[in-house]
Amino acid sequence: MTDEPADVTGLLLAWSEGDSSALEQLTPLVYRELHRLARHYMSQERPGHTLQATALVHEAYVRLVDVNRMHWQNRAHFFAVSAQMMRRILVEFARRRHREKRGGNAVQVTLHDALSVSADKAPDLVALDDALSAMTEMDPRMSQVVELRFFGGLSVEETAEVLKISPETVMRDWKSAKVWLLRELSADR
Amino acid sequence: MKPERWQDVKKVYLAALELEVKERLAFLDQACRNDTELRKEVESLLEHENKANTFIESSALAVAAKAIAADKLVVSLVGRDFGHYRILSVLGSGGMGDVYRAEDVRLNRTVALKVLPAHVADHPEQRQRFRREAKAIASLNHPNICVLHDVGQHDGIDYLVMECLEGETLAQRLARGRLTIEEVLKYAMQILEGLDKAHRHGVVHRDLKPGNIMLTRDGLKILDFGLAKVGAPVSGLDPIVTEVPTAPLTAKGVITGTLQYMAPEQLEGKDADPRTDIFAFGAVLYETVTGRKAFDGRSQVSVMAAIMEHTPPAVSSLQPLASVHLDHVTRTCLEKDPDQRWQSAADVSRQLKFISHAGAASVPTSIPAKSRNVRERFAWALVGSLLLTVVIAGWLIYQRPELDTLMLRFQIETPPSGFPNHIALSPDGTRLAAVIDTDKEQMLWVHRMDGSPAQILSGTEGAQNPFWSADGRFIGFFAAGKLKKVGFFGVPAETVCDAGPSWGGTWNREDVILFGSGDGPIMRVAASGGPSTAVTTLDSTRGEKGHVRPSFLPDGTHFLYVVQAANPENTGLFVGSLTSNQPERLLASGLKAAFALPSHLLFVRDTTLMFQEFDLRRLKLRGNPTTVAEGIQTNPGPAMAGFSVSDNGLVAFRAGGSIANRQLRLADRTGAPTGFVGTTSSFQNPVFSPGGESVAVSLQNPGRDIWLINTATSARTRFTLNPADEDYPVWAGDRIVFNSNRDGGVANLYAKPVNGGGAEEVILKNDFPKIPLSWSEHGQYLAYEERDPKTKSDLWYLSLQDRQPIKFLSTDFNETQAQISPNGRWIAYVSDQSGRPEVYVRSFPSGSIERQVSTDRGLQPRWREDGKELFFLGSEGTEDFMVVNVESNESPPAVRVSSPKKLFQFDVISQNQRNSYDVLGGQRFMLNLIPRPAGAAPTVTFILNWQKIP
Repeated sequence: MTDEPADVTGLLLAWSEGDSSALEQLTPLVYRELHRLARHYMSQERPGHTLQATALVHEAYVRLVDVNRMHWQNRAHFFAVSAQMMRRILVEFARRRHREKRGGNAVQVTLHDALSVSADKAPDLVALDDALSAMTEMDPRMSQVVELRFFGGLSVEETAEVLKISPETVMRDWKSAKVWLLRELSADR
Repeated sequence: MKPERWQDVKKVYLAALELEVKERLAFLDQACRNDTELRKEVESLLEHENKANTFIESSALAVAAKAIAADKLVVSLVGRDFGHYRILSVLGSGGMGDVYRAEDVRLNRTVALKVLPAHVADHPEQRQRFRREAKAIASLNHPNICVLHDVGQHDGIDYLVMECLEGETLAQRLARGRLTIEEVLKYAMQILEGLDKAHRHGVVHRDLKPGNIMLTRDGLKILDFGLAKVGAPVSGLDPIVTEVPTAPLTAKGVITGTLQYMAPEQLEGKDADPRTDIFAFGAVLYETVTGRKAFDGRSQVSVMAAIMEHTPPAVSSLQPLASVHLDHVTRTCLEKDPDQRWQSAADVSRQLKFISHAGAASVPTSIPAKSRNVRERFAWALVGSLLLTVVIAGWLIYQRPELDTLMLRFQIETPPSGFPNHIALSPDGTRLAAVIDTDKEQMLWVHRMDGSPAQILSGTEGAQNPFWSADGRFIGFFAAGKLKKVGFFGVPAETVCDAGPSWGGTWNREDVILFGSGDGPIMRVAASGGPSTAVTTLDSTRGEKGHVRPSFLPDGTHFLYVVQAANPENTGLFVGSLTSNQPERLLASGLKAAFALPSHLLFVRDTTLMFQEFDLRRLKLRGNPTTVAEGIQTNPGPAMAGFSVSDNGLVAFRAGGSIANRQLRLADRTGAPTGFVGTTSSFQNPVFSPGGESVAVSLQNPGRDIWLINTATSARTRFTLNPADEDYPVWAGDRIVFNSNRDGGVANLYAKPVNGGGAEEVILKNDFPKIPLSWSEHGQYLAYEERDPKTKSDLWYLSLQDRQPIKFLSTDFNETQAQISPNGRWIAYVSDQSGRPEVYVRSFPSGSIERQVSTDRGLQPRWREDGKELFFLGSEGTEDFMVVNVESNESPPAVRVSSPKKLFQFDVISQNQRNSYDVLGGQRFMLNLIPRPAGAAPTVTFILNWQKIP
């Protein structure tokens, strides 16, 4: 599939207004970005690799959540909804992956790529989602910071704008949230 | 967690994050103060801080995408080439990159290849320094240093090539237990040689620990030299790369990895020098000798506190085969101030050489329990002087070798105490805690062996059953229905949890407290407070009544405890565990026991304190018991024995002789003491004569006999003369009725005239044991108890004229302790039909009207002479003296009983639950008590090196 602009905005709007079928249509769009990114992670890029990956992720978010193309009154609301959407779709993806753990095709890669992927201990999205729900009861704003930043891909400033708090407060919530989540997730193991 | 609470935790956490590591401890002390929960929460968050830096910094999209990518990869490196190394197999996998066995194809040798992940590449300055450092280490060439062959980069990946080692790490070896002294000295010398070489080349290890020491066939090798330095940040604002191997400390307070071996100056962020390695070496040495870490704690913060402030106990106190010199060497390595330590590895090495060559003179040979070392000297001295205790303290603290083989017995005086058995020696033997009487109430008193003044700890009013925490900083005790703790070094007393009347507690290194009461299982609670949960279960099929006197074994998981059961056969000393509920029976003893390092169980038989070898691993007793001392004061009711033992060769006990010793104390209706009857003797079952001029009581001398004591003069005369046992006197008109086993079988009923010296005659003989209880002037009836195995204890009566037994009350329950009312119409008695003993009143002799008198346990009813009041004892253990008003009618017969009122409380210790008191005229009480010694001051006896008793 090419970069055909999909009406993500329209679908998000429909979903936020209660149209649950909209989420089903959004899912393949997100998956398209996921696979594009995954290919990158498997590719033969050289040093500077990490920085390029970050840029690509950002681009993916932009394609999915193109603020400029929307006519929404409330930008903050839009970001919040899209973060929720990403959370739903990605956690569902992680659940499905747990269920159908299969080997897949072996691909020849260099030592370098193998090490850079395997050494990164990725968090379990399903466990994270559960922990985040528990966090909402304890500190709803902190939970929202995580949802916006981790699932929504928002920067500290953007998050501050959405929640109408200072960037410093966002950072404090972010720091506390990360360590709390890390502890929760380690306890499970 | 509640939202408001979380906000508190968050605030403190974020503030602590801003501080340097060494400032955090003080900050947490101040911010959390007494709120231990808050502190625990914050500390546990801080522990995850270092990993939190990179946690979820990649967005979920990236995470998911990487997962997809990872799914599609099969990482198989074996057989692949990496520069001029061919990867052969995986040696180990760390959180931080893997180690492979590889072959250096140029030089044709097997090496270990350690690979570092690419994201370290994000910090180029770090990598540069790392490589420079590594090159310096690679130049070190010494048999005790793991050689670093090469450092390089290939395909953008950093790698290290090291000597390939086979064997186990010292950490793995220590997990199986401590080393022998020979092994200790052998390995220590090798570590020191390696350190010395490195230090001469300007390289400091900085992260010496058992995990970094390999024991191989070719000798000991130290790994990962100098890599620790790479952890130091370039600037204060960098997110610190904590993933470099073994980088323990970064200046901005983020600690990873093991820090039990780090020197205080390292924790403070100062530069490390060779003396830092000496400290770490000292900690390693300590652990090899004792099997225990020198500094440890529940959280990283408490380990840091231990390193900064705590002095670990001397190694010889934990390993008797270690000599005084080894203590000295270890202690000097572990000095907090680097200037006070050995200044070089060579210095330490010289000391250890001296120790290993000195041989028998400085390293005591192992003395098995039974064999004798010719050089042992026994010194028995009964000395009460303070001077001796100072000398002993000197031994305990400074380890004077001339006292090592001395066995010493001495006493100290204590203030008077109503609970003399409640003594506890601190684990290091330097302090003795005891419960003593002050003019207000009983408190905890602590005697210090070093001669400094004894202290009374405030906040310990009503204390009983004290016990020390494993680290000797706290004393747990029971007061007013609660388990409390008080800090010896000034932390005020606070409540831990509700406990009810508890018979003993114990406190391990993980701050788990166990306690047990006479009517339940052993309970556990955290020393910081919280809910208590049971760790044992009462087996009702064996008639178990309670689990008491818990005492931890050194592993802090297993514990000794006494099971009390209705049937003495099921009473005994057991071993339980926190992690499994499969108790094992050790002994038939029903008294408290304790374990003393290295391998002895101390227990009491009757009143003799004994010890026997105890295999901690198999939890079994071995060999034969040896007597330590006789005549220990005991109290079987609450399974108490008045002794306590330290971890280092000191035992303390109260010599009280037989528990049978009693005093008859007189008191008024408020419980205030008004005098004594007679002197201390083995009194049982005292009863006033109707006019109060004498007391009939039984005494052991050597058989048990009835004696009469004049209450005014305390003169006593023997009443029964038969060598058999006579007991339970009852005043019956002009005679006294009692029971006797003179016929060789069960106890039968006899009577003898009080005056005139007439003969003793049989009242009733049959096949069942009988106890005379009460005489009714009115109907000339004698009420007595008869025990039939089918119906247990039953109540009977007979008239002294025709002696025909008439059954009054017989059920499947126990009916006991009957007292006929003065007007002969009612009878008060005790029945356990409700599951516990309660006092009831019935019409006599018809028995048709029944009323319950006590509401919460009742024993030993006694009528006032006009029948208008009935007295009885309330709860067991410490007795509440209760009274009810009785209104009765004759025709029609009816009775009304008021609700019980408490008169006073007295520690009566009514073991046989029968006649612990009598009352005259409702005003004069006579209580049968364990005596509190007047005159001579009470003492505690100590024995030093009791384990050396042959």
